Amino acid sequence: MDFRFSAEEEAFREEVRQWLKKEIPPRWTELDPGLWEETEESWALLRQFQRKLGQKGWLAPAYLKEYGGSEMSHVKRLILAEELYYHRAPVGIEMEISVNWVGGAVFLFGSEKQKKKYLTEVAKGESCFCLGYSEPNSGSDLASIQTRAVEDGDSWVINGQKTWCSFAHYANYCWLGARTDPNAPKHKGISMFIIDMKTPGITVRPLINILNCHSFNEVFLDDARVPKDALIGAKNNGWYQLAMALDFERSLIGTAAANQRLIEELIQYVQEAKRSGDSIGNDALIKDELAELVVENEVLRMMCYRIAWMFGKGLHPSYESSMSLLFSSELLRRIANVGMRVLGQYGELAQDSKWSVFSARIMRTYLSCISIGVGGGTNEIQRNIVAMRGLGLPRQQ
Amino acid sequence: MDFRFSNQEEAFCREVDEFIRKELPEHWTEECLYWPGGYGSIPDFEGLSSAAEEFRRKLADKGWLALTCPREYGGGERSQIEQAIFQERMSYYRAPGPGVATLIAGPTILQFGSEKTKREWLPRIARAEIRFWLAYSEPNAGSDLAAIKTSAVDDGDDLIINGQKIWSSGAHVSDYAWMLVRTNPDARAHKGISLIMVDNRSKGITIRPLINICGFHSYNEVFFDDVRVPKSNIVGEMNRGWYYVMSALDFERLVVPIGNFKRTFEELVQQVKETKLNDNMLVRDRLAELAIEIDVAYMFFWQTAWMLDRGLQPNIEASVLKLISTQLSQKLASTAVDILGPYGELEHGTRWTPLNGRLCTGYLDCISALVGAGTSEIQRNIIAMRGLGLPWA
Repeated sequence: MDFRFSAEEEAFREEVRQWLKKEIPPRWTELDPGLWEETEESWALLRQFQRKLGQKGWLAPAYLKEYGGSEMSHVKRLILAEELYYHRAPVGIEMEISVNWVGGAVFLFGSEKQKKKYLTEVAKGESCFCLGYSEPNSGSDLASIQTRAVEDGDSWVINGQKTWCSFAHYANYCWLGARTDPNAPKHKGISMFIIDMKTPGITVRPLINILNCHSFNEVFLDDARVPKDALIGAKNNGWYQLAMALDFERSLIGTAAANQRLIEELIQYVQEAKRSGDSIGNDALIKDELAELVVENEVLRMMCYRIAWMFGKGLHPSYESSMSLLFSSELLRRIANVGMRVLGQYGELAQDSKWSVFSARIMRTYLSCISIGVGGGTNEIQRNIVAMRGLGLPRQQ
Repeated sequence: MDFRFSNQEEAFCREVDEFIRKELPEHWTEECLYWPGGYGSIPDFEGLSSAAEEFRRKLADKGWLALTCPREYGGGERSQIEQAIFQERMSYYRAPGPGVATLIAGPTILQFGSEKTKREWLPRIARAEIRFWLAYSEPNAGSDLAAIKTSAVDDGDDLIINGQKIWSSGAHVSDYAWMLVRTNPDARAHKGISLIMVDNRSKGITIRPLINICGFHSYNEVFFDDVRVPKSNIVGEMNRGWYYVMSALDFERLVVPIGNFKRTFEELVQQVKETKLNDNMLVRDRLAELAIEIDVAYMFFWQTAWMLDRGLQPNIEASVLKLISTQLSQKLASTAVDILGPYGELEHGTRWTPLNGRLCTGYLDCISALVGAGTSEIQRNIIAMRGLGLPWA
């Protein structure tokens, strides 16, 4: 066991920092969009930045070179993710979806031709994905999805409705789960598809979120006709492929670095701000709460490191990822709650107020963090997974 | 709405307070190790000193051990609020006296017993002549209490009992078991159970101690081998016992040593002042939080008494009171341990021990509160089902 990074890895971290200093667009920093806060302007900046990352081989660093990656070690991928998230570079969940969640599954289950096409496009920053999982009556019980895909000559015809589809209005493709055998038990009649979002019959309608932004969508599929090779992997094997993609979704490794930035800002605030002439940082209650956040974030960092380490060893993190996502979603809520208390009424001010603190990051996190802990499987689902796969307890009836 | 006590109630409160301070054995309150909410440190179960026995008899002479019972059965015919006032003051001084007999068996007999049972048993309970222990749980029946297996088979005027009870607090210092037995093995779980009073001296009863986490003998396991009990000892009707015990459990959940919470908290605050911890913001913050929660528990306590006076059945409220007070028991102990540091870990008997070692005992004993009389999970189920109308889990 060795908790240090090698000299080469440390040098790589420095290289990433220098590059980010140069390449993060000032306009992006000025807009400072957080989770679920994209606008058309910020989305354009984000795509542009990710293409630059792609040119350096840093967008999908662990991919094989033949698919546009740089075959980077998972420890270096971890370092890269930490720096991107800590410095709030123009990357986020949209990048994770395309590169790690869908990309990870396509790498495992796609045909050579599919891998070449989709992985390369993603690694270069040319294309991005949205997820077609949840439906109005299928969320935690995802295997109950009703969207149907029927074979018709040399194509599939898809009918149904998906919901909570983040970025569907920007995405080029949808990674979609549909029922291909309605007579099989519910887990055994699902297949996975990659469909072009421009396919006739697809309608995307916005769902405005708690931040008053357009990030979620509902997606309707009316006789959407896609080619035969839209099917990924084996027919009716979709549930297994989906479960693997969900494990990837839960394997975020940059969350502790993102949190660290938030906590550091809070610490800076309490050192500078005064209340009744005295620094807030002298308040024992506040010191106590901030110290606890730092401890918990170090715990999360260890969980992130373990996941990266497992990938590096060719292992597949499963309940380990659920543990990490569970812990990080609850921690983010605690950070936001402590932050709101520390900032007092200043914390409630909007980004454009001259009195707002750190461009209202804490308040915006307070609103956006609710979705973490629901998306990618609720915290209850993560606990079930830890109990079943981790502890070997029986599946709940 | 009126949150004040009446003049009569205020006067009664003063009378009880003065009586306890005059009659309770000297230093009892300070020396007693009883932690609020815990089952393992209740002084009654330890066996009482002769001075405490005498105190109990004096309470009986005042008619205070059956305060709400009608006069014709030896009671004081007082209101439930007055009963609650009495309990609050008694528990504030950690005074011995009321127990299973007066707080659970008596009220249940009054509600469901036959006239004969009432005349025979209630006056003896009021005079503090007999003490009961609760014979509910078995090795395989606790939260699922209706799964009890101890059988009572019909034999002329008697029933013959065979089986085992467990977690029997105070069985070794009591006179009668207040007992659930299966009288109809063919009926569905809830419908074949009877409630019966069994003399501890009956042939075939073996009581074995289970020493608890505090090192005290409060629990027992009790074995019944062909124990013969007269049918006249059945409370109410045969095979209706489950329903009586559901009501008896509501009474049990109302037995909250509310005053002991207040007293122990006052002692903790005093200790904090003496050890100059009172300037510490973290300590002040947590003490203030406890003060609020104790006040909340008091509100529920008075509310349930008020409901009983109006003929309302406080079953959700009994569960809420049980749940919040037992959680408070644990929070009080863990907060006190945090605040007092290593001193909180000292047992009674050293010059450095705070609160005479009650904290050290209480930290261990508070766990029992969360389990006895229905676990916290059971209380939440009851609140969800009876209170919110959610389906049975």
